[in-house]
Amino acid sequence: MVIATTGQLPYILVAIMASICIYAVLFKSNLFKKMLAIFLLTDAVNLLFIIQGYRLGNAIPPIIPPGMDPSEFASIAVDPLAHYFVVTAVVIGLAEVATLTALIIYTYRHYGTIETKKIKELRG
Amino acid sequence: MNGWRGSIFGVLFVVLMSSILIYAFLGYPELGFVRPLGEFYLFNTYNFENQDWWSASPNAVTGLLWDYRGYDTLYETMVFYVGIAAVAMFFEGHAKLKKTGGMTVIVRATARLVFVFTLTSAFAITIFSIKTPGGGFQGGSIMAIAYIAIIVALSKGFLPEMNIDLETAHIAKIVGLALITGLTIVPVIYSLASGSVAYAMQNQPKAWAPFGYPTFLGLTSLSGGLIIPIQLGEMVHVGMGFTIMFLLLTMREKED
Repeated sequence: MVIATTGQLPYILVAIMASICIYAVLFKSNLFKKMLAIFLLTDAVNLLFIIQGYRLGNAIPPIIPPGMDPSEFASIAVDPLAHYFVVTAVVIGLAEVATLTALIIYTYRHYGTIETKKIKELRG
Repeated sequence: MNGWRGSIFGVLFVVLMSSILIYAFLGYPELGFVRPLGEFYLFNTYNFENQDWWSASPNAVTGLLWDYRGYDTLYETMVFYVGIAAVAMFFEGHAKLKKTGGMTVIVRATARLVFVFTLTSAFAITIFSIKTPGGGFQGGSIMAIAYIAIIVALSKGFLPEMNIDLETAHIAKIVGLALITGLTIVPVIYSLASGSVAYAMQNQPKAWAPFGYPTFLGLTSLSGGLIIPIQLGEMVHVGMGFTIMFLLLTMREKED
């Protein structure tokens, strides 16, 4: 049997958050709720990145203080790659949400509803 | 599936999916482990003794933005451009900005002041991103907030009075992207013209590729080199993109 250690507990939080979002994306009929779930799923993945790049103890941000030796900085700063990926993912996530919002507004103007069940029942 | 059956199904789904994901995550390293690649960036970003690999930026995330993962940044900016273009495509027919009353005089005067302060802080966050947290995207988001404050307090119709309408915002956005892509290919043009080695997106000079923006511009001590203009381009691109998005998404169907 595999048991999570204390250092892996934040991953459990990410897993639960991602699962709830996946459920909403797949089974909620309201398009706006689906979009919110996609956005939160992006945040769950971003959280995963940040957790993976984190350092316990006296960690410092990835900005080198004046006079600090690069070797020492590399041994105590948090992973900048994780932060970089999150910045990139946030921009892409926002572009995605903008497009989805436009699509939802367009759908509402066309069908008068954003419930997928009702849209499916419409004829003509 | 509605009612209690739907709730039970939802709970079961979340439990099952969480279990699968947790099982997958158990193979991940525990907290506190920084990968060698991350340590490489931390070690080299502001390492005077290894200037072939440095970015001259004390902020390692900003150094990554252009010197180490520049193509990611470029394509991310393009994705954002395409996203806003898609929104514009849906709503372009409603592009006229009507001037309405807005809020009270006090709110309008305050909004103008807040606009100036917010825009200043956006520039500061962008320009000083080499040494402090922040960057083009953060600055651009703050810039957009300045315009959104004006839209909310003074109405959308006041933007043309500030020489900002949808067309101008689109042009500014394209100029921001053009600045980024232009600076990307300058080293290549230099390489072709001079016959020396230079790489697309090259920022700092290397032993085997002498092109570097600080030396190219005659500013040997320019910290971060190319990063500041790139960040400014990103700020304008993102700021104008958000402003366009907010304007278009808040327009009523028959506003024009």
